[in-house]
Formats: sequence, structure tokens, C-alpha cells
Amino acid sequence: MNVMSEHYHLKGARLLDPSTEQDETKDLYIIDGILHQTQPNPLPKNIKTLEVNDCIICPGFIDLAHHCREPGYEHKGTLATELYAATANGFTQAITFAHTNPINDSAAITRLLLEKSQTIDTLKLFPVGALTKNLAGEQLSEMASLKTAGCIGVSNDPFPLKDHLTLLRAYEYAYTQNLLVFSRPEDFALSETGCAHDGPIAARLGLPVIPSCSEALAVARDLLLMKHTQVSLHFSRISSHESLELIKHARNQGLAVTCDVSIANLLFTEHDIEGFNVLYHVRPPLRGETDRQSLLAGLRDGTISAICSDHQPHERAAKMAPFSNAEPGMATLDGFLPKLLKLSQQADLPLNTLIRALTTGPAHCINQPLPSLDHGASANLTLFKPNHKWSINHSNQLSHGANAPFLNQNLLGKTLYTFHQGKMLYSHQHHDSNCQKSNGVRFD
Amino acid sequence: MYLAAQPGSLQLTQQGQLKHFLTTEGLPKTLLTRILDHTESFLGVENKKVKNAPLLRGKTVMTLFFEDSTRTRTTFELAAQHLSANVMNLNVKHSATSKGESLLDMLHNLEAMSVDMFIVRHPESGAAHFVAQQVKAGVSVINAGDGRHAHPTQALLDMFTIRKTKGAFEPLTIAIVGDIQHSRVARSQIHALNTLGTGEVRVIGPKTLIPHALSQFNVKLYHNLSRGLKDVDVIILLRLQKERMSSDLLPSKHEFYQTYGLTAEKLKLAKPDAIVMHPGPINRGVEIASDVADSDQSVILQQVRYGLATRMAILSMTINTQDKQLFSEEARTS
Amino acid sequence: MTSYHTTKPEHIDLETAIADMTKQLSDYLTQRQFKPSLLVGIQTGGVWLAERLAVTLNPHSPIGSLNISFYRDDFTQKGLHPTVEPSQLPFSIENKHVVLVDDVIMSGRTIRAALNELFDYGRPSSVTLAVLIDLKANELPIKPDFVGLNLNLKPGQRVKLKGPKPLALEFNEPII
Repeated sequence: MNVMSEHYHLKGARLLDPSTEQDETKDLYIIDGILHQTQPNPLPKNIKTLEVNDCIICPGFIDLAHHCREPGYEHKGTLATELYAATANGFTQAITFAHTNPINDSAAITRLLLEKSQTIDTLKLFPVGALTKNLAGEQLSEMASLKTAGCIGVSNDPFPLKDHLTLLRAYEYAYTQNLLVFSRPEDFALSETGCAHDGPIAARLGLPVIPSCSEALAVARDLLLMKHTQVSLHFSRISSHESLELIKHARNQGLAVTCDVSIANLLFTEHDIEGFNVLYHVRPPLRGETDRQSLLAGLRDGTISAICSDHQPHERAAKMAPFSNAEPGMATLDGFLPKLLKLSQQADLPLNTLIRALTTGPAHCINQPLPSLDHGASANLTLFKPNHKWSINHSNQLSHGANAPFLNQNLLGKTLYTFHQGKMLYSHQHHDSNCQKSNGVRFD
Repeated sequence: MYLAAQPGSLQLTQQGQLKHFLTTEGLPKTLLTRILDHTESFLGVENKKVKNAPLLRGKTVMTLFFEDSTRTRTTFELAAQHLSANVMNLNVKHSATSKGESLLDMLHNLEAMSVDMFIVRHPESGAAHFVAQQVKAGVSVINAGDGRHAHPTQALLDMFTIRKTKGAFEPLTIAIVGDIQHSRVARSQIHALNTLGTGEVRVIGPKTLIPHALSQFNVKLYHNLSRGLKDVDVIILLRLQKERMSSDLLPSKHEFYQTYGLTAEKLKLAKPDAIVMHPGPINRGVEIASDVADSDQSVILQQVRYGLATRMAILSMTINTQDKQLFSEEARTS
Repeated sequence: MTSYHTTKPEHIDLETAIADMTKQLSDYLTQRQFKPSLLVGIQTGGVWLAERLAVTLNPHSPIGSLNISFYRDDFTQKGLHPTVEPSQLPFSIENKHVVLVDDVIMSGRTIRAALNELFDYGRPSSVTLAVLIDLKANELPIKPDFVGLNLNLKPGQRVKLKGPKPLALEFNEPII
């Protein structure tokens, strides 16, 4: 069956496209997977008209930090469940890091990921390979074959390298292979035993800390190594004011460095770990309110290019331990879009800025074509209703993660449809009719 | 799984009684005072020929120690025995968790044995909170020390010692000296001292042993011992763990003693009637000079003695709050 | 041993009742050869009363006082009484004659708890129970040997001994 055979008339929505700075209410047509901003003539007979007044259409979103649990950690989430949860928030492209089991340090695993994702008919997945063999920080990975197999870049996430010499060489080699390095900056020695921000809350709770300077030190180091090696580098999940200042300075000096921030660090602070709440044990740690405000300012002024989900689903048992023993990470996808829409209103973050940080911003970071609603572009888009009231509970949750922070809350704003290359990957009607499906073990 | 952030809420019933005893933080002054008053009552038990106060008769108390501490465990055991509880000990290091059984699985197995109270010591901060969140309703958890976070029974026996020797807290200036950073005792003391209205609480130590962000502690920070001890009423020394004496935290125990050890000469900077406290066991010639430890100003042995009565008070005030059993009302009038 | 008669609250003569009880108790202790005997009061009213009895019975020996909180079977409802002092027995009771003194007896549970607490300090040769007011509402097989007054209270009415000097009765509602 030809997947391009569906045609749609999206009627009455507001088009918001950072790539062309278009912001107007206008009908949009999807004909054979291609966008039309004017009514095609003749109109195909089998075209479906979707009445989407009060909705916003944007180019499909790009997630710069997804963490596929397959292969190896299927009990936390599968490609099918987690990528579907991503499309339900408007994502049509996503980066996935290498920390699978086995670790994605070989062409075989990269190919496995890509093939599997293609069979389930989902968004476009960009694997990021391991920077070092087995992420062990000692031996370089086979970056040339990783690239050939389809890796877009390399990273040692979640394990910071101990040795600066190894790091220097890995960056030199990545430069040679023309691979983008994703650095989640963290100084190994300064954060090894830590699990919380070095602030008043951790001091009071007696938790081992990860100081802001651990991240800033790694940022400074990477900026120097970047200049030295000329490698292309992107900072993944910046969390502190100090890091941001360094990056801003480097960009002002003309260094082509980019960075993103996770939704968790935009929404939450160290205060959320009160009572040893393991749900908020994330890495980088939730920092102070001044850091959070700096991150929001960084989004406004463009120092931060993208907002990522850093979606890390876990099974119940992974979090059932004393705070520092619980596995870090948060399953952020269920409720991702409504939470950002709310943040946009509360934190004086214009909707345009928010959408840019989900579309052109991340595309720019990974040197991909800017996603666009332009006439003649491939139909990669998402359509959401900003004033749709709803909530998520265990019966309509999409991610398999038991560590979802946005459940059982009043949410405002819901994705209705997500299209990728003309095909409808997500439809809210389909979601709602399937919401009774069993989704594994739950907390309550 | 994820409970309210209020530090006190987990350990108190709606009526404000102790359900668990996890931290001194967030406990109201009236409750802390009541614990101290009850401790006074339990001191009398030592004078009895049969040292009984059978308030926990028929209850099963289990000590669950994930860290070795014979001393602390023994005091808790003795307290529970004096209260006529059935006491079981589980030294977990040599038991199930070494075989990979998780803390949670172990708890559920133990609960099946109808344990009424767990007394938990664990190397991770927040472990006692975790256990308290997981046990069935009606089961109490006493924190016998969790990581660097809290050691509330030790703090209460220290408060009792201070009240017994000094009376009211309001006029007192109290200095805590040494490794604050890694000390659960210090954290619990600071919360209790502040709640009880202590005039001024000071912490004294090198920057390597002081938490980076002190803003939530309401203490005055001193790096210089002589300045910090000036005119204090109470000096609380903390135990310096052996592994920290010579490390990247401190050059040597010799240098620590030179700069932060309490000698007779340094003691003179405090008020003439100042008392010296230490949670024990003391390292002579590291935190404290031998003659100071044995001097009249030292109340270290009283602390040990009051430890038993304090724990009896806390155990008896915690375990019975969830009991649903009803007895007929008696017209006791006095 | 003692003739029971029920006194109406408005006719109470506390001093006479104490004097009569002291006399009867003294005669009994002499007759049973229980002298010298040690006076032990239950906190706090019982201690005040024991002090009064001691003036006649045993003026040169200190008074013992019992805190029975640890043995109360209604501990779960009431918790520990925070202001009560620990038990203090400034003598050995081993093989001694003890007079246990309380102000009011109702169900008998307090006396049960007091006997438990007393026996934690040793084994007395005998225990004689003297109580100022008997409300005649016992729920346990415990009866006082000597009573100053028998009172019938209306439901909900309570009586309390005020002291230490002078001793007086206080009712929780006005006497009709």
C-alpha cells in the first residue's frame, strides 16, 4: 500500500513556522505527502478535511535527547511505546543516545536501531554512537563505521570521561570523521559520587552533591578542546548559570557552539527533591531558581537553541530505593507539550521562541534541513489545540515509564495530529480509543 | 511512591503524634519538649530492681542495620527490651542484600513476620524515609542514622543532656565543632537546637568539612576555633571518621588536632561553666585532649547514660500512636 | 473491716474522714504486727495523702511515690503523662510492710498498675491499700482495705483531690 495515498485538508488552523517566520491562519493541504499552502487544482476526490479551528500547526518537532531503551532495557520501554509517546507530543525527529545494552558503539547496533524504528513506522530516528568503546572512556569507538551505518554524531553520555588526553584524542578523531560531538558536560571527579545540586536542599538532606562548577569546568574544558581540535560540538542538557555564561562568551567570540536544555531543568528546581523524592533524581541535577531563570533567559536570547525531553523511562523497581541509589532520569514525554505551553505563559517565554526551540533551533544544532511548512515541503508537521483540557493517568499514559511526573494533573493543550512525510503518525482519536490498553506495572 | 515534600508530614499522625521518628527537622517544639519530659520519667527506670516499663509488651521490634554499629544497636535493643518488646536483630551486611535481594524485597519479607517497628541504620541519606514510605500502615520506623542526613535519637539525647545541665535553651550559645559536612548527628542537632529556641548556634570547622550551602541551617560559621569558642555555653565535638583524617579533606589528624582539637587552653575561651559533649566514641588526641575528655566540664558519659532513657521515650511515644485497640476509660484524676 | 456508708458530696467532712481512716489503719497495722510500715503514695494525690497519714503512722521515715504510667493499660489512649515525676522509693521495700495510698479508687486499674510498679522494686512482706475516696465502680477484683469516704457520682461527674495543703475535693461540676 502506498503510504502517500492519504490526502488532507487542514482547515482553519494558525500556521506557526519559525523557518519562514510565517504566523497566520490559513488552510493547509497535504497531497501525496507534500504541503500545499494554496488549494490544489484539481482537489483529489478522497481528500479528508479536518476542521481544526483554534489549533496551531507547526513543523514537526526535533528532540535532541531521547534515550531508546531497546535493545536491552525493554522492561523500561520499547521503541514502539516510547517513540509513539514522542509523536504524541509533535516530534517527528529524535536523537537517541548510545546507552543501550549492548551499547551502541558498533555499526551493527546502529543498523539494528534504524531498521527496527523503520519497521514500526515512526518518527525519524538519529542514533548517536558511543564516543568511546563501551562508553568506558578508554578506547576510541569505530566512528567511521558508526557514521556509515547512520550515526549523526558521537557522545559518551551518560558517563563523563576521566582522562583529558583520551577526550582530546576522541575529539580529534571525531573531527576527522566529521562527526558532531554531543557533550553532556560533567567533570568526573567533581560529580562522581553526587546525586543532587550543591545547594541548600542537598546540604540539609545530607545528599552527596554535584556542584555547578562540575558542569562549568567541563564546559570550559570542552570549549578549549573544541578550539584546539576544531571539532563540531553541541552541549547537551545545560543546567547551570555558569555554564551558560561560558557558552555565551564563546559564541560572542565567534565559536560555533550550540547547546540545549532539558524540560526538567526548565520546570523544576532543587526544591522538588524535598522529602527525598526520587522522581526528581535526574542528571544533570535540578539546580537553583536563579539557574532556572538563567536557562529561561538563555532560551529567550538564543544562547540555548533547543529544549529536549531527556525522556528516560524506568521501571518501578529502578526508582524504589533510597535517593542516591535510585536510577536517575524522568519519563517526561507524557505531558511534555502542555507543560511547555504553560511554561511559555508563566515564564514570559513567547510561543514563537518555544516553537523555535523545538524546530529550527535543534535542526540547526545537528545540521539538518530546517523543518518547514513551506509550500512544496515534505509534510512533517504537528497540530495541537492549545486550549484543550485533559489529564493523563495510567490508562491513557503512552510511555512505559513508571517515573512520569505529569500524571494526574490538569493539562492545557494537546497534540491532535502528527504527520511525518505525509503519513499520520499520531492521531488523538486513535490515542483515546486505545487508552484502555494495559501498560504494565504501575506505582499505585 | 512520591510523597509530600513537607519534612514533618511523613512522621506525624494527623493528631501530631509520632508515627515514625525519622528526623528532628519539622518537629514542633512542643513535641521535642515532650520527648525530653518523657525521657526524664524513664530515667527513673534505672533505679528499679526490675528495670521494666512494659509499654511495648507484645510488640515486635526489629533492628535493621546496614552499617556496623554495635554500640548504637545495643542501646536500641536495650531500650526495646526494657519496654518489654520482643526484639530481633538483623545485621544486613552479612545477610540477604549481599545475595542481591533488594532492600524493598527484604522489607516486604520481614513485614510478613508481623514486625511492629523497624529501627533502621543505612549508609544512604533518605533510607529511613524510603523505608517509612514502604512499610504497611501501623508499622513504625525509627531512624538510627541514614547517611549524612539524620540521627534524630542521638540529637534528642544531646538536647536532654543540655537541658539537664543548663536548663533553658534560649540564653545559650552552642558551638558544634568538626566534620559537619558528613555528620548526620550535626544536622539533627542543628534542627533540634533551633526549634528549641537556642540563642545562637555556631559551626566550626575547615571549609572541607562544612557544607557548601549553609543557608537553611540558621547557624553562624567559624573557620577559626578560638574565635568560634568565645563565650559559648556548650561545645559539641563531632567524631572524625578515620578515613577522613588523612585524605583530600584533611592533611593529618595531627594538623586537625592542632587547629580544631579541644584542649584545656582552648576550652578556657568558652564560658567558665561551659560543658563539653561528644556523641562518641571519642578519638583522644584528635577531636579532644584526654584531660578535657575526663574533666568536670565533660558530660560525655552522661550522654551515654541518657541515651537509653531517650530511646525508651521515643520508642514508646512512636509505637503506640497507631494502635487501634481500645481500653475502658478510667477515672484517673491526678 | 470498715463500715461502708455513702456520703453525699454536700456533707463531706474531709478532715474527719482522714482522721477516722488514720485511726482505723493504725489499729489494724498494730493488730497485724505490720509496724513499722512504709508509706507509698501514687502520684500525685496519693502522695499528698500519704504525707498526711505519715504524721501519725510513721513520722520519721520518708514517703515513697509511684509513677504508674509505665503500667497503665490505657497508655495507648493517654500516652505518658508528661509532668509526672519518675517513681521514687527512697528505701528498700524488700521484706517490708508497705501501705499503698491513693486518693480515689474507681475501676481498680490504677492499683493494678501500682502493684506492678511496686514489685519492680522488690518483694514486700505485705501491702495494705488505703484510699480516701471509693467511687464503688471496680472493674477488677481489687478492693481497698481502708476507705475515708464512699461517694456516688452522677454519670460524667468527676472528683479530684486538690493539695498538698490544704487537702480539698474538687468536683468537675457543681454539686446539686
